[in-house]
Amino acid sequence: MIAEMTWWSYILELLSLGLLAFTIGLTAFRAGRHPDVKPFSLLAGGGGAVIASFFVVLLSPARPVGAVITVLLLLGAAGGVFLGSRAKFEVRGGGLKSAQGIWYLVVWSSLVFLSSLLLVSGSGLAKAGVSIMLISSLAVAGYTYCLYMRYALSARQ
Amino acid sequence: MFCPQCGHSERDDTRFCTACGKQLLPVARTLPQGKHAGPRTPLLIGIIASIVVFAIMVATAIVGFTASKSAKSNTVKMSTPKEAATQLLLAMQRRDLSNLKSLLDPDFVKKFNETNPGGYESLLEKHFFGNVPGDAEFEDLTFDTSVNGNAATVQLTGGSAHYEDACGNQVKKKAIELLPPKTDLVNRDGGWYVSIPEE
Repeated sequence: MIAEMTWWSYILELLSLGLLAFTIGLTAFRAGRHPDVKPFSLLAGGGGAVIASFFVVLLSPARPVGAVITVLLLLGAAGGVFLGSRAKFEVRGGGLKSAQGIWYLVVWSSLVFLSSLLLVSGSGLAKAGVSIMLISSLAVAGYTYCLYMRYALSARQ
Repeated sequence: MFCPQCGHSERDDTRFCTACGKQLLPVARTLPQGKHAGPRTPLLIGIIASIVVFAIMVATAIVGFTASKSAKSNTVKMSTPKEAATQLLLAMQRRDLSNLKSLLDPDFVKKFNETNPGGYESLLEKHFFGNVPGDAEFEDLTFDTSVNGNAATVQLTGGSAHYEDACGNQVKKKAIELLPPKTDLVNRDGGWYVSIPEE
């Protein structure tokens, strides 16, 4: 069952899902070909994910309660920092070469795609969709910022 | 090394010939490299960006708490079923969506919000305002209330409505022809709310 929506929000939702699917494909293609990551793209990626989670909480009527949101944010950030602290990378020229490359962006976009599907499915899982979006966004932010800080500290030596 | 211009012998790390002044080493090699120019720059940027991201994260949590609180306080408690039904009819007459939302069963609104995130308000408008002309005036409305534990039903038993139709003619009808003949209500925490049975 698809949730009851106005025709224009239905079209917008379809367009954004299509755009997201295209982005996932493009990012996966890029991630497969180049393992290098620009340090500032790490900051931009993580910052963008956190800003996106802020707007989801601000605008989505299916947001969980405040305490659950806080737990999801903390869990996501902690998980991301844990993964970021274990990621292998080496400094090359002005950037860094990471074994994971930009696959984190592919994983995050795919989870956002899944949460969007849950939001419009009308299955009553909209809150689960928002939760997935929040935890994955903060995980991306934790991962990218941890990796960036490790890069900045190693570049200093 | 020797100066390529005058042949004067110089140390290998000398930048300019001491005899003729010719530049011996490229300026780029002698100037500090990016890493040495500001070893703290990437770290400083990282710290500032982390603080900003942390602030956004805190703001997100605060918005979450505030939104939960306002969702709870967005309902108005009606002390009797009749009062709730009367307010509902008033909201329908005025096409007042925010007042209508405050009268609905909070549990229903929560569930409805989750399953219909995109079209919640338009569905409510269609359901409650669809049959009532914009300028309708209601008079002498009478109700019959029956309460059964936490549930109640308010029957519309009388009253009239008048409004202007599309051709500009004054139309007078029985209120029951435009308004729902009965309203189901539910008691939550001492307040009566309009309940919508699941279809």
